[in-house]
Amino acid sequence: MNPWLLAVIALELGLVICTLVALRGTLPEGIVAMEVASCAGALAIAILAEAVGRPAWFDLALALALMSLPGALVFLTFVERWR
Amino acid sequence: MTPREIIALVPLGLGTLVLLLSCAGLLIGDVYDRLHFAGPAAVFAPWLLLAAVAVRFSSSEAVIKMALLAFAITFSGPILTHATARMVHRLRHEKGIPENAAGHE
Repeated sequence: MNPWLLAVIALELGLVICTLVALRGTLPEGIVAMEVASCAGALAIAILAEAVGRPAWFDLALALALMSLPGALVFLTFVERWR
Repeated sequence: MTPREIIALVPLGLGTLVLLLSCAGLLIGDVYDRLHFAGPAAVFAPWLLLAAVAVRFSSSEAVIKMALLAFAITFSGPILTHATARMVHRLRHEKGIPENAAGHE
């Protein structure tokens, strides 16, 4: 198997761990898991794009990485204000 | 495999390992401990994976977009870590919500 696809599978394993932490932990722990998961997810998409030779898929990873910052900040602001 | 592709496997493996260890670190300690593990995932892993893509150099488009991605993740990581720590601190010390009650209604 292509080693780049193996790296994608390993990164997906990391996403599974983040999902478990977000489901089982407290709200702040879940938010931390969400932040790591957005990073791991964007990089997994990027490595997948490289693995299958489709550079256009990098745009998806870039969009995810760029949108995760304001999304998480808005979420944190709402939790801080209305919790 | 060309020598270039074989060399690219080193940063690829290292970057993947750093990300996996960061995700595994989320299972340890309280929320402040876990915040530490978000650092390597946002700072080291993107640049290692960028190095892998750059060494392999399948296309210049891929390298440029991967560089933008690495910059975006590295830029947003410390900001999110700081904002999360600030939120947790305010929940605990200003609103007096204990950690165990901070997640579930």
